[in-house]
Amino acid sequence: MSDGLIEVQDTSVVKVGKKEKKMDAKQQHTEKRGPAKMIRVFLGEADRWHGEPLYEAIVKRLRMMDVCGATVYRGILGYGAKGHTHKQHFLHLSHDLPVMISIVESADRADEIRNTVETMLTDGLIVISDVEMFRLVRSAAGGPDVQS
Amino acid sequence: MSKAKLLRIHFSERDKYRGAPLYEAIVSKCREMRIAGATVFRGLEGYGENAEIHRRHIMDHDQPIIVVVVDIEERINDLIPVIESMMETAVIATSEVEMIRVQRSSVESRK
Repeated sequence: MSDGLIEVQDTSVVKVGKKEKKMDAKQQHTEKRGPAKMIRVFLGEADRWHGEPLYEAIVKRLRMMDVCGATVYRGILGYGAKGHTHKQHFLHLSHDLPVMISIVESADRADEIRNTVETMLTDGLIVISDVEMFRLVRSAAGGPDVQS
Repeated sequence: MSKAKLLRIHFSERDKYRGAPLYEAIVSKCREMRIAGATVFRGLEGYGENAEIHRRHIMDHDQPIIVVVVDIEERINDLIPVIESMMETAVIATSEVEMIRVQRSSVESRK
């Protein structure tokens, strides 16, 4: 380099993406079982987090935290913290339907997840129940939490 | 964090109560009884009381419906007999849960 600027900056790696070999379908799966917590988060589809839908932001955050898995469900009718009815009308599409995110993770990480979700939520409900987890992992790396 | 009960009611989209869809009737009843919250979900496919499969048909909607209600135990216990009297066949399941209500928006901004 003859002319230029080199800038050095501190960065924190949130999640390292790595390509993995395609899994072999016949490979034996590994099991992960034990006491776990099921966390259900009730919110509205119109809720936002820095410009993006809150449910998407929560799922992204959970991925960064390497949480086992999260699923978003859209309801067709409901009411909750905000008190108004979320309802899909026949003639116009409502974009504020109730949404539920269900998360399953081993019991020792439940508090961490709960705190994260709680800070992101504006109005909503978090419901935690005890479940038994039985998880099958077939990919080579075994998922993010096997080594932990 | 407080102790609460989670109630799930499974039935068909086709079920009616006094001419209105049963799930709408249940949600209105929950509001009337001042239950903290109720949410209706529509499943893709399922079966229940008999071998008939509930799924989407061209003209007629017959998908499985789940209503999820969360509140303190006493209120859920009051709600169950009321809901039971509104329906013919259904599955009602409860589980013990812990509940955290988050409410940050001010009352004025709520409609």
